[in-house]
Amino acid sequence: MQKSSIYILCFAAGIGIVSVLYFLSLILHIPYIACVLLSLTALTLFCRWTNKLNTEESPANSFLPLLILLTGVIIITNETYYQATKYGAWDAWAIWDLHAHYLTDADNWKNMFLNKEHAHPDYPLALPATLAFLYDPFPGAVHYLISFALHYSIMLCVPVLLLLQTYKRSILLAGIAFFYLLTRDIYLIQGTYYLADTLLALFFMSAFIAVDSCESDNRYIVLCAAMLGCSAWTKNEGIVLSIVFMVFYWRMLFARKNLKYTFIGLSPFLLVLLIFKGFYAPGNDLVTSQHGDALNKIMNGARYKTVWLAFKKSVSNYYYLPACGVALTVLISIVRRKALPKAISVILACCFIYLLVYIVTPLDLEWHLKTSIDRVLYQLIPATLYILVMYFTGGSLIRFRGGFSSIRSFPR
Amino acid sequence: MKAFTVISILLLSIAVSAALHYQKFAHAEDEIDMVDNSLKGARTFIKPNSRLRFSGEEERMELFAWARYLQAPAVLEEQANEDTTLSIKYLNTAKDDTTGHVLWETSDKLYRYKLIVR
Repeated sequence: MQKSSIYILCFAAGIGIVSVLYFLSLILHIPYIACVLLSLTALTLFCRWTNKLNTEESPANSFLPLLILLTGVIIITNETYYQATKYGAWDAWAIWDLHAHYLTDADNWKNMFLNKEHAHPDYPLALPATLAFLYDPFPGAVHYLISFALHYSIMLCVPVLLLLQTYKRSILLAGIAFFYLLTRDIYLIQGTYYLADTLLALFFMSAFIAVDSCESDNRYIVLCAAMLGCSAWTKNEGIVLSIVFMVFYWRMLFARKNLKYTFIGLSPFLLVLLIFKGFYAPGNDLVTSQHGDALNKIMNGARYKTVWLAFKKSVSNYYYLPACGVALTVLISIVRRKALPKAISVILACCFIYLLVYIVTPLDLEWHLKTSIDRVLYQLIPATLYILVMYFTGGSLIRFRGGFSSIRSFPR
Repeated sequence: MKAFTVISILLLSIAVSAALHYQKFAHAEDEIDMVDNSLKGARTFIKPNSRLRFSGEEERMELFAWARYLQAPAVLEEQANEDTTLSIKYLNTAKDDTTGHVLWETSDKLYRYKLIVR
């Protein structure tokens, strides 16, 4: 992994660390200033630790990758200027930023759990707690700017991390993936809606990147586990993504020699998630609103057809290229009579579980699909693009049967 | 690419974007800003731990979400049975179903705002 990628992962993990400490400081009635000092100490120690990880030697600034990066960054800056609104979309002020507003009040933050209608107080707090941490010392009039800066940084990190981790394998494929992602309407729209989906997409892709670097240094498992923990601490879907990832990579993550690294990375996020879900958050509406008719829904063929049509429409509208890439890897695996790449299997399993949730949803199916399918599939796209570039450039992800994957030496 | 170069480009982009965003919105009034300004007078009555019922316009669901967003950490619910109601209605609405003692009232170019105690 390159040093610049490590810094981006530090930024991502920093969001997780700050949100965990801020949430704990609310529970334990720790003053804000002490929380700031604790966060700075934790971030410093974390960055110092990541500096000790084995990284690739930074190559000189070659012209083409730098040109691609600069062009991409200019495109995002320009497009965001036109696309961004002041307060984002419905879910921003009805859920994520609303929760951040509650969390800024140390005395009354638990009021957020009294909201029953449309507020989803069971959603994990990585994003709201980070926003609240940043909002706290500033007047309300500039909160929109802080929110924008945080979301823009997250939005920027996703394609840049993708480019940094792939361009040395194939500048052509890395460039295609980079420009494909940052010129998609869905990426710009979701990024400027100020929701948690882009943050989840960053964490999920980062988990694959970290696991891919374990060959050179198995301490990267700490980073991978931390990214999975952050995913779970960001959204309920993140819990699903993390579990699926851990199931497929269990031999690596839970091997005896790696167990302590997995535990170190995962435990802070798992702990706060358990506290949050166990003691504060109400049940998730998709679970608590089930009226024992889930089996009927599973047996109802019409629901499968509706979900499949919505899935097909979403893929053809927004994700045609990555879907073709995934289909091609499946085809190659069938022709070669080899198992499907593990990372591709993770993506497909996540898709399958998402679609299954729609089958049994207690909400109006058409409405639920219309309001969320594009967004939940979007969470998987950066990771899918990364995996596809690695696969088609003969990267590590074509090995799947347990143990560490082998990373081919980079072309010089 | 050198880490210094990459991080410098990212930081520069964030700074430029934030400056452009500030320039675009610092003096622009969103509908949320309008509701926020109108509700300023109600804040002397709505304490952080207050619980209120909300009454808005059926076809303008955003009003409820905005009011809750702007009044946090107070709690607003549409279906609640609280004795105090925050009402936001169109200026020319025919469906003003809220009755009781009006604690506070104001209006702007779109809506009439009332805080009513049963």
